[in-house]
Amino acid sequence: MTESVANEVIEGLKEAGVKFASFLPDSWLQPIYFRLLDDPHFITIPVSNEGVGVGLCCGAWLGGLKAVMIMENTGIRMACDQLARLGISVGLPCFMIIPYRGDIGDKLTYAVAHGQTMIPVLESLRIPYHVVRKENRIRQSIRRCLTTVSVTNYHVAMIMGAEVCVENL
Amino acid sequence: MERIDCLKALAPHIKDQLVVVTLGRTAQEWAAVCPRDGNMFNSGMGNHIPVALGLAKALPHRQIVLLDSDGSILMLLSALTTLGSYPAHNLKIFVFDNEAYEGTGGQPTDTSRAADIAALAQAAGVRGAITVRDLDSFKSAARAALGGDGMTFVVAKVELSKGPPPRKEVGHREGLLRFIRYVEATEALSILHKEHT
Repeated sequence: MTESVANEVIEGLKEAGVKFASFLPDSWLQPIYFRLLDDPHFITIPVSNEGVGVGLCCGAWLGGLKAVMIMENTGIRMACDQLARLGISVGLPCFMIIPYRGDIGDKLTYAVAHGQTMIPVLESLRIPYHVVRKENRIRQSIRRCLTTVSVTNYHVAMIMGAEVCVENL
Repeated sequence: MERIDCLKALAPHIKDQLVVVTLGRTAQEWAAVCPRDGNMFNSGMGNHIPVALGLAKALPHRQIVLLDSDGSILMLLSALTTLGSYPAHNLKIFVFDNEAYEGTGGQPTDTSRAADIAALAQAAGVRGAITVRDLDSFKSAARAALGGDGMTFVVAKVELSKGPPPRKEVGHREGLLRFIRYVEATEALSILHKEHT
């Protein structure tokens, strides 16, 4: 990911009013994580299990903060229980930013399963998602996703396609 | 020591705190002992520490109390390492450890054998995590926790409850809405979407 794309994400989050962030890092979104940790605008809590991050974001929302959970798309599988319980059973939302590992052109074999399962898992959890494939659409997508989070009180995922995450695909 | 007696001892200390409560009989007992809109019940097994920690980080000027259980803590142990690494000074945690999955008939949890939740918490970086085994010790730990600054983590070893549980009168969705409205009113902030048509 280029610094320019990372900047669009960070500034897009700020413009949309996001103050709380949690993440479990992946390699495609690398620059974003250090930006979050270094930026005092954000309360940032890294986690070692994606389900914990989803819970943190739901708690922050309950305290009036817009929040984002950033994780590899395998995290959707890891956090399935938290997403179902907190979103469907309880009624607390979490906005997620997720790289589309396993997207067309991903060079790593292990990512294939992430790509193949991501959309079916999101759909089974009835989580709306938006795939961003152009850098100049990132800020708008963040804004739109957070509007939908607010209107629905339910999770929304912004999926970052390979085009915006990887140089020289 | 019975959990209901611990909850009765805790209730007089609750003023404007936000109380995150686990599920099952602990929730039913707390709802009976301390009914109020500032209670947030049942985020699902394992999820109470993350939700309470997120809430505590969002409202650092306000005391957040978490009433959790051994089964819930054991289900998502990595929440302890996050708690230890990113503590919240305003978060007061009480874990009622009855060594059993009470809601499903009392099957044993791992704390009935070798697992020690306070030791796990300490090893995860949660400073000052303690275990209390009698009501006087619980009362004194609760007084110290709620009367001071700094995150606290108190594990109370309790017996299985006796007799039928109290009935919880407020349903989950209504309870959540009341809690959100309580937070909005007492914090002068807006959480739920407002239509401007």
